[in-house]
Amino acid sequence: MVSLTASVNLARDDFQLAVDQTVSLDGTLGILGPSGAGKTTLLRLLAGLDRPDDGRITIGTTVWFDREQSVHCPPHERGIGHVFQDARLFPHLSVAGNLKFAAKRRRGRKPLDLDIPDMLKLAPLMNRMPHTLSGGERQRVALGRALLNAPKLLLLDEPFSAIDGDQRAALLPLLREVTMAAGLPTIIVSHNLSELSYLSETLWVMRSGKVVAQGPVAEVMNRLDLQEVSTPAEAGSVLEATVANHDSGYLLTRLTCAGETLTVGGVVASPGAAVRVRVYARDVALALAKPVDSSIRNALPAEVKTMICLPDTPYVDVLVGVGNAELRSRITRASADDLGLETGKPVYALLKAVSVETP
Amino acid sequence: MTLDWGALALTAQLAALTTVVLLALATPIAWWLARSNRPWAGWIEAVVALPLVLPPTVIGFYLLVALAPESSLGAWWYSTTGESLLFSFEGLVLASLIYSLPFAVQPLQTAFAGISNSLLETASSLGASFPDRFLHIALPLSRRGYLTAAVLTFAHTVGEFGIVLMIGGNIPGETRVASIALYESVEILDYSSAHKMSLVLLGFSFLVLLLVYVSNRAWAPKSEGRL
Repeated sequence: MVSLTASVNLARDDFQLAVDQTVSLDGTLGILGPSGAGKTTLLRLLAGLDRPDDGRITIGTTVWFDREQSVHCPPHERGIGHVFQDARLFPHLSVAGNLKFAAKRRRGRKPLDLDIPDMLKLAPLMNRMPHTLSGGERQRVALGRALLNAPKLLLLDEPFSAIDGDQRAALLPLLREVTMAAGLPTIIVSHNLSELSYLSETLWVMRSGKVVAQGPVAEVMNRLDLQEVSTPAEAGSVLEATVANHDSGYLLTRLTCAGETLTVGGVVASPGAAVRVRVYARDVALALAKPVDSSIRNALPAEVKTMICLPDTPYVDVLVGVGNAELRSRITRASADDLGLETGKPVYALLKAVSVETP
Repeated sequence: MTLDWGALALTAQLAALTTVVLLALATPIAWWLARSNRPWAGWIEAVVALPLVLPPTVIGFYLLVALAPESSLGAWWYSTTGESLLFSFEGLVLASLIYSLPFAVQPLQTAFAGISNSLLETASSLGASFPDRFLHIALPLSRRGYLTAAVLTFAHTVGEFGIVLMIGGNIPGETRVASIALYESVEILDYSSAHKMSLVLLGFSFLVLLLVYVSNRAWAPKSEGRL
């Protein structure tokens, strides 16, 4: 596990970045924020492409930047794999040439113990020139190129933003699979919470050049007070679960989650496997009694923890505890009043839809 | 009279040497001009472009003064080599480097300016040092610029007359280049030689331009630099 310290200040015309964080890069760190929050700027400082006005950047025992001691390690000596939103393939080199460029410049680092071209399905693209590739293909090549360089740290800057929906859906699990298998410390920047909740273990939220929240993904996503994780489209929770068994007759899978059983559509994972469950707040209804004669199969006993009104909307966000986990539910204020919801009140959380992410 | 092969060979030698030296000299200048946003970069640009607009005789006159054995450069050259820079092949090379400078710098500057910084940044993230980035990213991406610069420099050096006349004179094997030989043929009313030399230079010039335009089309970027 590598520890990254970024204590940096940077002032630009109308923008100020001030980050002072130390984080264990165990798995993937996601950085969420709207455009202009300073996410890309922070990645550029980490990569050495720009210099902070002041501060210190260290990874493990290596100092990358230290203003006081006048240390600035140039980007080509940092060993960083940087994947940008525009894939930035070298236009005069074929796909194979781009990959070879990276593999030849590992600077003594040991290649990753993975068949990267195979995992990223690059074989059929090898002789193609970059301008003939689709957006998704370009990003696969860019990712493969970064990995073949065997970096110490992988930086992904909005890697899906230039790709359309279908290709994005295909690339997301591939990226998760590759970063998990490579075991590389990874930082991914995005304005899309769904991507980050899927890919990250730890989440930072950035706003106006500052990190305003940080912690395990599940924890940060349940912060009702954070507007960045409370948008209508994306507000929700992630829960850790394990596969209990499969019902092959109905094509269902039962998961154990927070001491309860969840029934979901068939999941391709063997019993005992750890999976991550994503539940949107809008898909969680609350009831005072366990519903009978209902099509909803997942009704979990819960207890109201906190509530927050969403100003200028009919909605209220309710955080309920389920076993040792928490779930965010978005219901109307009218319903909350009818149910007489208040902290400590026992309820049932009814899950209308659940998506399961197998690692 | 026949075609003056000696003059043609000398011209080719002068132009080739000038082209090679000038491409090496122009590369750092063009790189700096293309990437610098300092206010005085404009001043350097203007100085580099001067030979484009000055009458060759003006450059020739100043060179005549600068290369004379009485000047510090001329004196230094004389004390080191024992020969005068004026009316010598070396003096012609020096003059060619000056009057062909913009023809080498400008195409390279345009080519370098077209290379997106993001590609160079990507290369550096992948572990490429500056010389490595220049050699393997910038150079291949600016090959059209190099071709144009080389061809224009060569052709412009072949075509120069005024400056050569002022500082080189007409010494066979030393400073008697094609344009001077042609002028002399006309002076002595040897039109047959003048025709031959003119035809050779015309054919050469056309071939050179053809090479530039045809290859520029063949190498046209396919959304280069934007990927």
